[in-house]
Amino acid sequence: MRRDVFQAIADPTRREIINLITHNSLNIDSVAENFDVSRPAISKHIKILQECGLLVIKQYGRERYCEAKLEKLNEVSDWVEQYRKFWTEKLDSLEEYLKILQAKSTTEITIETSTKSKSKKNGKRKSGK
Amino acid sequence: MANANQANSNTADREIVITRIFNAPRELVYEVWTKPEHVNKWWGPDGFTNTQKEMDLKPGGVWRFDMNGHGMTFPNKIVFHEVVKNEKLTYTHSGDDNPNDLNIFDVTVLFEDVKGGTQLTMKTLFESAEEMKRVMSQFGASEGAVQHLNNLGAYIEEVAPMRALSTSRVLNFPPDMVFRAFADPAQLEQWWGPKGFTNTFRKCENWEGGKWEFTMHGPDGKDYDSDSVFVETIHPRLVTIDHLDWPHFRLTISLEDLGEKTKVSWHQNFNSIEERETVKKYAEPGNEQNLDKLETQLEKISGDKQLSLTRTYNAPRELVFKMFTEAEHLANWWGPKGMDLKVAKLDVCPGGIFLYSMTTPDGNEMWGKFKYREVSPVEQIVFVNSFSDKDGNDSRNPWMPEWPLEIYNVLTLSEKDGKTTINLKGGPINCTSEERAIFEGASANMEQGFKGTFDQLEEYLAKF
Repeated sequence: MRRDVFQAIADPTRREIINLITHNSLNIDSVAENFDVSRPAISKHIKILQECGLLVIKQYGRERYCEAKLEKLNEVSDWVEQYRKFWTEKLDSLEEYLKILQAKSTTEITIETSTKSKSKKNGKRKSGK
Repeated sequence: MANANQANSNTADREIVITRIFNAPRELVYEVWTKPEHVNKWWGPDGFTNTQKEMDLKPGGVWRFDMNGHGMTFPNKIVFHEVVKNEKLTYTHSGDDNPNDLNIFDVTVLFEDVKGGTQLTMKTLFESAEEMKRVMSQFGASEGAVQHLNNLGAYIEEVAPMRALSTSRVLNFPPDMVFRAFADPAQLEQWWGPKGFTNTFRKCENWEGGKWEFTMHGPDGKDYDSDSVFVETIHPRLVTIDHLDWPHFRLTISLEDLGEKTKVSWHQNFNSIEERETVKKYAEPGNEQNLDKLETQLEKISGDKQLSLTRTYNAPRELVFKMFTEAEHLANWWGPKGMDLKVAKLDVCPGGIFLYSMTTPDGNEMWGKFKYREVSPVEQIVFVNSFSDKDGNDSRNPWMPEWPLEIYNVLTLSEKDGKTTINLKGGPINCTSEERAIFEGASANMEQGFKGTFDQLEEYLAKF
């Protein structure tokens, strides 16, 4: 089954759990106290959050504490940056390819794509470089 | 005048055929031809007015009217034979009930869809070639028929506003964002329709020739099926939709760029005046409510931060355009470094796809896809890209399941001094209901220390 951030925070109880532990780590009992649902149900939510990487459980002596890991949420909000990186790579690659294409044979490209006057211009610019 | 038909089957020498194309739907042309209140305004050659007496539009029905002109009154009697709504009329035209009336002819009027509107064909059949010549010279019938259609054409122009419902509104959002609210089916589903209506989309192919089929759920609990086709979409300027069910109309929505604002002009052109009159009472406020809902939707996504990239290449625009539309070129640069890219399918047209596979050095195969929505050489390409399986079905990003399933991209190309500048704007569309649920939940949960992170998250989610 797919486990991702979206799934983790799709549920209001899980969002509330993250809210609770954002600033202070809490043990599972303390988390459960805040909800009307059963403790096993809360454990299940905690397990899902754990699997999605939004929560880690740390052992302090006899107690197990839930700690929030919010980096994953940033991952989501940084989507645009990731897409920028993706396209920047593509467009770099396109630039290289265009250079190769145009260096290979200016005339070839001319026939394919452009008018004579344009090709002359391109040719001049190339030789002037 | 059935006997005329029987008497002489060769009609070439006793028939006048005139055709004319009107820039109007068939329904309208038929309507102004068959309703006394309209017919009265245009019927006949120049210099005539009409007095309607009776019109019984059915096979065997009689239509009587007087034509007044040149200081005289000419009684007219028409007996309908065939009456096929919006398609065909045949009738016998005579002066009056005088059995010795010689001015009798049979008329067939055909209404046909053609590019640019409706082609009207009017065939006037006389009893004999001699009779045709006589009537033509005596009454100037040939010239009169031309004037008749000219008058009809002028009247159709005149009544054009009578079949339209128009409105406009300035929205405090840029055209790109407004257009995305149309282009993204998931958004459109949220805001389309009058107040209190919700939608279930079955098909929403927002590109030229694409189908749009959905059910609207009214506040009264009734369902209304809607069947339309996208006639034209130009990001971020124009959406034209033909509504195929009753009431038939063409909806033209144009967006005018006013800097950070957009003027939305909403022009609903019904196929007939009757259809407009029938629905006006609810369609007029409905259009305003629809715009209200669009505004609300735009407020929801106002935090949208989409990708915008600009690059300049030392190459002519034609060549750069080909890089995105020709398989041999795409294969050479689109694939990630170190991966072998194979083009499985490339159909660069609205609704067409580019399906490709990439093979990693360790032999893993992955698939990706573009769905082209708009291809305007050499200026603009609009496409949706996604990960895919080998059959072209969307799939999740294998490395990052949170990655949006589909990203809507607008690539514009401009050329200056032999260099081409491209701009790419990208943002997610068609997010799953799961993702949407999160967006709604996240906004309701803007609290305390969590706020910062959720602010960012909301910005992201608001794109849906």
